[in-house]
Amino acid sequence: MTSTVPRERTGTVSPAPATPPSRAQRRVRPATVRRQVGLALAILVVLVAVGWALRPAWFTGYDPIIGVPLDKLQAPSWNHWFGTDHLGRDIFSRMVHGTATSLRTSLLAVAFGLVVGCLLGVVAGYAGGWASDAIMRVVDVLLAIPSLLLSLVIVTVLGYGTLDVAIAVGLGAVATFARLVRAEVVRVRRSAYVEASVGVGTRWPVVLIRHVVPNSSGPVLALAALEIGAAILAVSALSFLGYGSPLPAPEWGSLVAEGRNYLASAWWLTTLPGLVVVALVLAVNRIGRAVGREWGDR
Amino acid sequence: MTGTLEAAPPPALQVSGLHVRYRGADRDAVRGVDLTVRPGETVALVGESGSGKTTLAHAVIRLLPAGAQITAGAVSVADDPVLTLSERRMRHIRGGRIGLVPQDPTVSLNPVHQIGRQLVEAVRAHRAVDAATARGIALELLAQVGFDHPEVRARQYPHQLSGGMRQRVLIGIAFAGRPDLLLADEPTSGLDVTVQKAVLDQIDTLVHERGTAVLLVTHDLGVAAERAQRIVVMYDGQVVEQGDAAELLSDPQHPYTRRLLAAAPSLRPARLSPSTTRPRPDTPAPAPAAPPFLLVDRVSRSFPATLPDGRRSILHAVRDVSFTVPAGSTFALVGESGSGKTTTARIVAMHERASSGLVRVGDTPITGLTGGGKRPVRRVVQMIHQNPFSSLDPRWTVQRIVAEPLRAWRIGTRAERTRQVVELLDRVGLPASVIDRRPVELSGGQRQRVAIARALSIRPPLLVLDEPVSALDVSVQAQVLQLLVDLQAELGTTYLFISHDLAVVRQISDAVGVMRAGRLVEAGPTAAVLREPQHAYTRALIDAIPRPTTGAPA
Repeated sequence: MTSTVPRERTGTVSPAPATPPSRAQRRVRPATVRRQVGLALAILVVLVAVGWALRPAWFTGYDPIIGVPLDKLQAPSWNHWFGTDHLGRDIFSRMVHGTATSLRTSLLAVAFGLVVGCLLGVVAGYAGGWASDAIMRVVDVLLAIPSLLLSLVIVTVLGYGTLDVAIAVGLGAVATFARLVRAEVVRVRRSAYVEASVGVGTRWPVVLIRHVVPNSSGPVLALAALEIGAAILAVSALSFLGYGSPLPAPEWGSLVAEGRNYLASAWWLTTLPGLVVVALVLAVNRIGRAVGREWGDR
Repeated sequence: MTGTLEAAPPPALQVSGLHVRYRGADRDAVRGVDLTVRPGETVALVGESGSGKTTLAHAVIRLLPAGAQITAGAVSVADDPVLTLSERRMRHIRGGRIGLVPQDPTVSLNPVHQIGRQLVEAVRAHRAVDAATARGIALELLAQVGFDHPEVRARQYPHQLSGGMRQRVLIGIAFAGRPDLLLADEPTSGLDVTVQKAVLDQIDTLVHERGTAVLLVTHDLGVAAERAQRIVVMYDGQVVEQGDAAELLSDPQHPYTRRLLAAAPSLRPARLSPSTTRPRPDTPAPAPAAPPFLLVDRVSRSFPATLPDGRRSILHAVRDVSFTVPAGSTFALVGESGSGKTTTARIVAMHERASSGLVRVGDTPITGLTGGGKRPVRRVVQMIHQNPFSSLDPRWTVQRIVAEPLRAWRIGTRAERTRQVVELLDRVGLPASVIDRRPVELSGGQRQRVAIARALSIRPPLLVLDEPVSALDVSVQAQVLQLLVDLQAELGTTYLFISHDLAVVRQISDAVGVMRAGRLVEAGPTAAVLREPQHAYTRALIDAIPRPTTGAPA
């Protein structure tokens, strides 16, 4: 949400060019307006999804688990926005109630990838030498294995719990984070202000925390936002394949999977939940791009 | 062309009443500028960054950045009214009538094309010749801008050439269309002084042979004085003074011109004296008996390197360098890039390891120190980096930056540190209001002052200054140098001053060492070295200081 705020600080950047660009020079252009509207829409989508996860009962009155058999396989209508399934359960309600599990798993996955990846990346970037070589070769191996395959293997070993799925998905992101963080740390570590900080007598762990980490974090945060989108897809994919919460608990991926058998007669069972996943992933990506652009300016 | 007015050819460039405004700016960047360059004449356009001189130069060839607009005035090149021509005709003017030598040779050539090809492209854009003839002309141009073996050079890529060579290629390209006017926008900033002189000489020679007019845009009045017949001084978008070079230098009318003149290091041979009136305990140059505070004894630094042909070799960045610096005095190391002067400074500041030799600060040998052992010495030795745009953390406020050493050494409470920061800012001539700003909100000179305040906060007896003013405008340079001289008089700090510019060095240092290819080729008191240089390279450096051709100011 950072980029909805007008860019106060970045506006005054240019170190005295022929004429410093003033506020009005950055007058809002149509393209900018379109971009802002798109961003606002993306934020709205994410807020709704977060609302679903935190307070599902505010959004739907139907029970997600117990259906009304008489109302089975109804097409979308005013009463049942997303229609009903073969047991007469309201799909919209199942979607809303499944949000918490799906989002929590995705966020945990990204958090796991971020924390482990950053630790590895910072160590590799700051220590250099053989430590860097060792870590980066492990990361290369991780990158070489298709992430879905890796997740499947890990889930099979660990189990189907939220945390297990999160670790399985997050491990795929570790490699990406580690590489980016290492590159950023190496860049920042060579900068003159880090040398100056060491030069005035600051101890290196302090330099690391006060200079290197904050200055490396921008692109990493942008990547984290993008990875949330990818994680939602990956978690849904695992749940689609049956590696998720056991039925009848709703989860996005398993909803799509359940509807698969009725694709010919009841298209809404797969299509509408699928569209919701797509919308959320796109929205998260949009926000991630905005975060990236905001940081790219510095 | 004396006398006969009616036969006088039209001026090579005539600018009248020109106004340029950037979109959204509340005032014009160029305000009503009148300027004439007669055929065969060299005119220098002088001013600091932000004065509008580059905007003016870009307006002349209609290559203003998006958002800038010419709001009034006229520009004509020979008889063509530049501002009303079609874009198609304009392309013919650019390169054909006006040759441009751009500011930064490192980015102005296409890195994926051989330089010969880039020259041929420029030739064929303006002359109706076939490829073979164009190639011949390109080789001729390479020879004219001073390349030996043009055929070999033509096949090289920009990255294989040094900065000075690339600028020569660009000069060749500028001359490819046989222009009547050469527009040189800071053609030598960022080049070594000896190279700077060679490049300017090259331009002079070609201009002389062909009778080309030159508009030389520069921030250095010394360069202008040496090269131009007429000087136009710009300040804040306006021409504040223009006239014959010799007259303008000997009798400047406008206060800004006087200030520029005072700031130009090449026009000011004397050492700066402290501006403070407060009595000083000792003379600026300490008695020779003073014990050396910094001792550098046969220091070497070598790196393993891989030669172009793949063989392993050893690169000697610094070889057997020895000198001593008495407490409270300034020792300057001078040399071109690659001479090892910065490596030597970094060894003293413990940012680099010496391969062999001894460095002693006070009574402490620092060359053998590793890891945590270096830290205590960091209270004694502080370093100012060359580029104040990169040596300050962009996310920190001035307050945090200046207080960082105090925090690192756990000096004072938070409130005491804040008070000290205000004091330090005042001492380096910054208002207390900058305390909450971030580096991006400060100018280059202000940033360097912040860096100096940070270094001084723990009162180090030795300050290593790595080209502290070379990233700054000439007038700002003078202020920062004066500040350093004042602080030394006040605090008795010892300076190790690194510079590529002897003109700057003679203003600040008591003794000077000249470095070349890693070796110290000459050292001695500044005045003596400048008066009677022993080494040929020192003489070349002294020759490279621009000096006015006529009527030097007293």
